[in-house]
Amino acid sequence: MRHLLALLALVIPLLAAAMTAHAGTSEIISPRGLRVWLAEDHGTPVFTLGFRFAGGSSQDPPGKEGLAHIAAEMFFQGGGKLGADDYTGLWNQLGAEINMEARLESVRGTVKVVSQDRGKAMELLGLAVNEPRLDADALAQVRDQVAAAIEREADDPEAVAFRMYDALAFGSHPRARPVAGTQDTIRTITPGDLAAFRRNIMTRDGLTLSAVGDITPAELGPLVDRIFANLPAQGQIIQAGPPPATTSARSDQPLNSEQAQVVFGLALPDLTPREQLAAELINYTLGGSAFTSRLFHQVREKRGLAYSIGTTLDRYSFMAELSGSLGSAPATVEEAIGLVTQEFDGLADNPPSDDEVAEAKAALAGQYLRGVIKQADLANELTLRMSEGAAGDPIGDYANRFSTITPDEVRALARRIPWSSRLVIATVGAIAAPPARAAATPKLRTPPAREP
Amino acid sequence: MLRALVIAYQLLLCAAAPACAAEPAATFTLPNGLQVVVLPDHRLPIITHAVYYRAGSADDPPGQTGIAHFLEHLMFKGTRRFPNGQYDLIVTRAGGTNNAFTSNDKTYYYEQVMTEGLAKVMELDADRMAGLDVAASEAAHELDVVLEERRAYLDDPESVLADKAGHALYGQGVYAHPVLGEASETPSLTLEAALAFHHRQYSPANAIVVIAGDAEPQTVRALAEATYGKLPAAPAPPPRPWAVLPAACPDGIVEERHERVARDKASLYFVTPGAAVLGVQTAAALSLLADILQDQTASPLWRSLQDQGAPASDLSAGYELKLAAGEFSIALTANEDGQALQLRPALLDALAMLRRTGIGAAMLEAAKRRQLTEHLLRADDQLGEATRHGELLAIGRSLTEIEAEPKTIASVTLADVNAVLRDFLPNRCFATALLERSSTAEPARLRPAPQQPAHAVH
Repeated sequence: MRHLLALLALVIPLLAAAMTAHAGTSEIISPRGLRVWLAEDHGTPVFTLGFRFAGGSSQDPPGKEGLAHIAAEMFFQGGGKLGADDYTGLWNQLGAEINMEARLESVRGTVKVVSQDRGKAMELLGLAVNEPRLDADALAQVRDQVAAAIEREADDPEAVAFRMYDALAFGSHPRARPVAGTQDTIRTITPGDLAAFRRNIMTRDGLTLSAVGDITPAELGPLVDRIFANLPAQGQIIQAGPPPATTSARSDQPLNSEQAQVVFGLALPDLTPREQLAAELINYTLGGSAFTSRLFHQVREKRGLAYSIGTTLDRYSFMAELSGSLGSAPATVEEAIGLVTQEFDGLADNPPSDDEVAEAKAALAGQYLRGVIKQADLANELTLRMSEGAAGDPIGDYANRFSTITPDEVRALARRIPWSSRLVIATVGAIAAPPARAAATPKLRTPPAREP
Repeated sequence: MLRALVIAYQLLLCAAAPACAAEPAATFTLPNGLQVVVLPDHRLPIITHAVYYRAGSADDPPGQTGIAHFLEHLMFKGTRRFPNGQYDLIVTRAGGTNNAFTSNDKTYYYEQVMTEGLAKVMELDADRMAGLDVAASEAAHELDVVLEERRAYLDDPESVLADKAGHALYGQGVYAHPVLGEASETPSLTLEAALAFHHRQYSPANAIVVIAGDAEPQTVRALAEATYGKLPAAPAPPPRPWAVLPAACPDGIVEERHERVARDKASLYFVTPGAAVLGVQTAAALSLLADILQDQTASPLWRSLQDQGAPASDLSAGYELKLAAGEFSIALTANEDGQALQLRPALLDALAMLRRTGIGAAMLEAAKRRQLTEHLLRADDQLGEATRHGELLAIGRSLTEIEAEPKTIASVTLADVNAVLRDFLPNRCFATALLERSSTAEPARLRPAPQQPAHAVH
């Protein structure tokens, strides 16, 4: 494999680009007044409904970290008279693809189903929305699954490095919270907490809706009314403010492993909207491009110090954040970290050239389109755009968002940000763990000899 | 309501069958032997272009395991016409992305670009099919990258176990070694050996191009003639006599103990004949059987394990068809540490019972319905559809067979499924793989330290 796919997945939150061909999005107002963005397409008999509620894990009360995540996991665990087993059994029979996930600032879901099953799927979804069960036994089961996932993450050096970076960079700000919570906090979550989450978050004021595929406007209005129009009108959300700008720091977790994992990044809480777009272009040039970025060139191409290296730019309502990761053998990891720091430092003296900005614009345009090929991805993108107050042609407009950003604006931002004095670095395995005493310790595989 | 949901799956067939599709798939073969397949999809101005070579790690010469994969990396390091670095720049400027993957039987390269970039990526891939021009120093750096890839791979205990299972299943056979190569051989792979592999294997007649997206077959044909069509027909690639594996009876138990295993796991691997000899209907029956066994709500195997009180929290099953073999796997995740070995007899008992009772008709119908639904639901995944077609074409399935898959699934009978259960999941001749958490005196678990000493970077 040429490139690790996990890195590509990291890029998804900032779907970027330039296109007009996908002009098919229209706005529907349902009989009871719900707005829905529809991308109608009858090419295959498949339909996807997207729904998004503002307010995700950023709303978790202190000590209840993981609440939004568990609420999302519980969403498709029963409704009305149907307990979890019967309810999930019916979804399983339909073969529908259902998804509900908590993110930092939202919980969002999609239901993708073949047209002949649409009615039944929407009936099941309606039960989850309007007649939630929140059964204690289902909660216990979900909590066990989440606990197992947290346990697996604790064994994954890269995931641990990301958690260390979050804590080091963002301290007590909601951005630092683990979306899935911790073993301790998830134990405290009760059915009452889930009910409170629903009261605060799953309400019409923070709801945005989309539909993609085989459905007509006339069918769509009544459909969303039956599912969403009876939700309470108002919830309660606490808007997170921006965290302070990060200050350079480093944290190392010892481990004996083949590769050391490094996560690095910085907060950009002080950017104007135009500067946020410029930051996306800078990120692409620095490390966002899988095979042409400056970091790829310095660390992998020229020196062979890493297999996976890349950065991503995340945009939240309260800040932008540029972060990245790499894996390198313990013997070479410090050299790789040095090169990364050097490239951040170099942004001021050697900001993106006209050519680099042009490449970034073209590439991010394509990346945005590739990110909305699948129905569920497009549905998620539409609910996000609506929540941001977009209008008109949401996909086309966003695709063209870089058109008025000039290379000079990009360079001005590259010079303004004190990159290296904000850079936070977390490593796992850069320092070897002390040898364990026990004879039962598994043998560490000797790294293959390197070519001289 | 439950009963009402069991709708005749025949309704799902039309839309998935080629006759009903708005734009059918097309295929043609150039005079030099290159096959081209076009899967039109005009929802967005995007095209996926993938080149499959019928050459993979199974074609690694003795002593050079990992060479097919090393060549995959070198394919991005330049040609005489497009020196190192040009390929990636051209693709990104076309709004595109790319990647490549090596597996046992095949290697593929893809680009996903805006519509107008298609001609250019066809030119790029035709050019590097003809030959490479890679500097020795670039190759040396890239070998370091491959070794880093290997390290990342080996940091996952499941990968280490998969490599051991490969040896247990195939002994000294061509599927036995890891795609990334053996630890003793990968570090000494050479540029010359990789180029020799390219020369032997990378020719038009040994390649298949799959183009999915915003393109018409007649446009693609003209572009293909102007690019790939200019390449001369090369001598036939070396034969693959190993494609028909001799009958074997693997029976080993392999294990991997590691401190970073979250939950113990026990897996059984059964080997079936591969696509070179296995018919589409039998392969479909095996895939349906895997679906039935891992059905989250009605798996007969899971029910029987629960009745026995087996200490397991999860069951999964899968069937992967390769050219020379198929691998049917069943995996159980343990409730607690130290139980992996206990899961094995429980699983064998449950399988023996299932062989006696057989699969029920309702289970098969439900599985068929799920698979046919899945067929429709994945139609919007342009890259996924391109690679699904490419992988099946590369192991010798025809486009007609691939497009007829829904009909094949629908035609599988209960007798077919029970026959593959009996014939291919026998009570002997399988490998067992155990993944266990090692019990160190001092648990070396990775935990973020609560109070990290932070210090300035500079």
